[in-house]
Amino acid sequence: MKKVIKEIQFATKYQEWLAKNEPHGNYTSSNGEYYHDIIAELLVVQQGLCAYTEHKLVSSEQLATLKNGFSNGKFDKTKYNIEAPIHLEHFNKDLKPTRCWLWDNLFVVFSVINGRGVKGTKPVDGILKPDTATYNPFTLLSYDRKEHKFYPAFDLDKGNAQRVTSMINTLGLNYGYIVNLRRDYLENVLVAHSEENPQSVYQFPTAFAFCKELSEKVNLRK
Amino acid sequence: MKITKIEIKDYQQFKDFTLDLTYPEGHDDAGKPLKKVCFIGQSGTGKTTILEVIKEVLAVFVSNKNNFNRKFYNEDVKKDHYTISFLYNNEKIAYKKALKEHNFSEYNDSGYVENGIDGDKVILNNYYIYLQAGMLYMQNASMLLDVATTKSAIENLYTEDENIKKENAEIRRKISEKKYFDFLQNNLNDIWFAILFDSKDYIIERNRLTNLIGRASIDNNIEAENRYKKEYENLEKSQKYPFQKLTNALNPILQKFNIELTSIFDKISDLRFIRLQTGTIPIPFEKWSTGTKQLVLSIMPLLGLDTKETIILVDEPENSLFPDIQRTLIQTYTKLAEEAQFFFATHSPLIASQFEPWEVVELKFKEDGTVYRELYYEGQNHVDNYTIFPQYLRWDDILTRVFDLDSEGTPEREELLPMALYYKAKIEKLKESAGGMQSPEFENTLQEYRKLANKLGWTV
Repeated sequence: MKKVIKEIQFATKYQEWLAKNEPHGNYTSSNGEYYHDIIAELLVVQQGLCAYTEHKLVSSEQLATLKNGFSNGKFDKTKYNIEAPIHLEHFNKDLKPTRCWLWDNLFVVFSVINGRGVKGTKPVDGILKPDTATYNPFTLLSYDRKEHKFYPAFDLDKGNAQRVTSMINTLGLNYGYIVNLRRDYLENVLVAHSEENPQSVYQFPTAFAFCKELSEKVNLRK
Repeated sequence: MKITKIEIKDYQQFKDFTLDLTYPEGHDDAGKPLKKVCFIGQSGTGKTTILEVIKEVLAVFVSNKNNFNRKFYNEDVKKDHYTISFLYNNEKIAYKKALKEHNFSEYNDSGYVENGIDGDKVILNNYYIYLQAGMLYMQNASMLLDVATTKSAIENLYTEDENIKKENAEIRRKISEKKYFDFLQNNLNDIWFAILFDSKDYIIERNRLTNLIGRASIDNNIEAENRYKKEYENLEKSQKYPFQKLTNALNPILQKFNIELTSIFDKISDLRFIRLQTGTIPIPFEKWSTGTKQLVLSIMPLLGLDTKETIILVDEPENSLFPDIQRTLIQTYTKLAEEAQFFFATHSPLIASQFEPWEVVELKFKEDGTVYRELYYEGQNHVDNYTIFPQYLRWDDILTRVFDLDSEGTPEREELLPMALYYKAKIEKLKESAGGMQSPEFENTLQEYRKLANKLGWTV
């Protein structure tokens, strides 16, 4: 789960609306005015990836179209071109009734994570929230190449390791469906990858970085 | 006759649904009908419905030829329900079931032949077998279980009364001519009679030859002895003895749980029913396990019928069977009826693993509640474009990749696994550090790891 720098570049009208601090207790509070603006902006800052699993949701061409869909800080809904199964996700569900459109609480995720009871309304812990200032996946997580699963970094204390474990499961990072996608993709990429022939990686970049690091360690030991 | 395509226009959960049931491009049998098909999918997606559709169409074929031949598909038809295409002597035949305009309650069974062949000349010699495996023995083994009925039927077989012999031969002939067996409706009596009838002739002949060989040997008549031995050999080669086929097919499986079927009957009168034994101790039918009954009684019909060019439908063949037996079950069926076309419907990953990817029809719901077939290939239907190969997957991969089970294990396992990996990595790090393995932290971490690894089934 890579870090997400969540600076609004295009959806400035939404940003202005947020600044007014009007109540937004549920989905209808803004009459859906900024729904597509938010999704388009999030996909841009998330570089087309699911915020949690890093599964590719949209292509770079689709991302470019989304960026071009903004005019004067407002997104033109007719330019919305996403057919992928995506979901506008509230990181902390408890904030949904009172702060439904809160930018800091929103991500776009692969719908499997929200739609099959993986995350649902489970309580969350900010230790693994991809847009926080202190979040760094390489100090909190590690990756097992054989199982293709994330686990807490070995130098965390037991308490924090358990907090990270709980969030790994809540966010679906090790969800079977995702693990299969990730394994299939990375194993193919890693076979072809070498220093002389670096592969371009369009999804699961964090897991790839861990695998690459592991491969290099193995090579050093040889 | 084999089915090549099923099209369902508008019937129950199927809307504009088409199944191509031929081998893909790049396959040695490209374009020919599949020899076996496996339907999988969530409950309610229509696996059994498709079997029922095939069953219904075939029932019309074999029981009402005139209806099939003469009521051609015409403009009166309001909408199609379904069309099934067959390959018959290399000619395509299509059968449509449709609803007549202005009368929505009346169905119109309409058949037509695509390549100009005269419908009246189509002779449908083929029967089909419908097995709903789980229900089979409970509903339909009445004759086999009813001692009085069995005794009387079998005693009739041993009679020297010429009239009864003729009657028996006539019954056997009629069974051979029967084109349609539905084991949800017909019981197994016909099949059992056919097996006994065929076995009886075999045993008489075998006993005759055994006696002749023995006598020739006593008489030191080598020429006669060799001649009878040759005849005996030919008899064995003819594989006309159903019990031998049954034991060959099932004993490798049954021996896994220390039982076996016997095909050896010293006297004809011993031949009553399939004999199961542990060592030499017979096990009465009522003591057979559910799985054993299921297995033996499901396989048995394949021995009593000529299955050449037959369409065989089997719903949930895995019922009551231990995974180890399921693993080779499809091979057991298909070996016994090599020229038949099989349609299975299953919820078992072990059953699905015995099919090539083009033989698996995975049914899924669309958002509107209708059903589609999940394709296992990308682009053109060519063997090289397939991405899922059930025969090569691990069992757990079949569950996640073919049966779409989203998680690899229970939530409890998912919770535990990252912590086990965490302890494992910690141990590796301590091993690398100077004196790390002598530290109390190493011992504590190792203990924590072992506790979790043990639960996860990892070798510690």
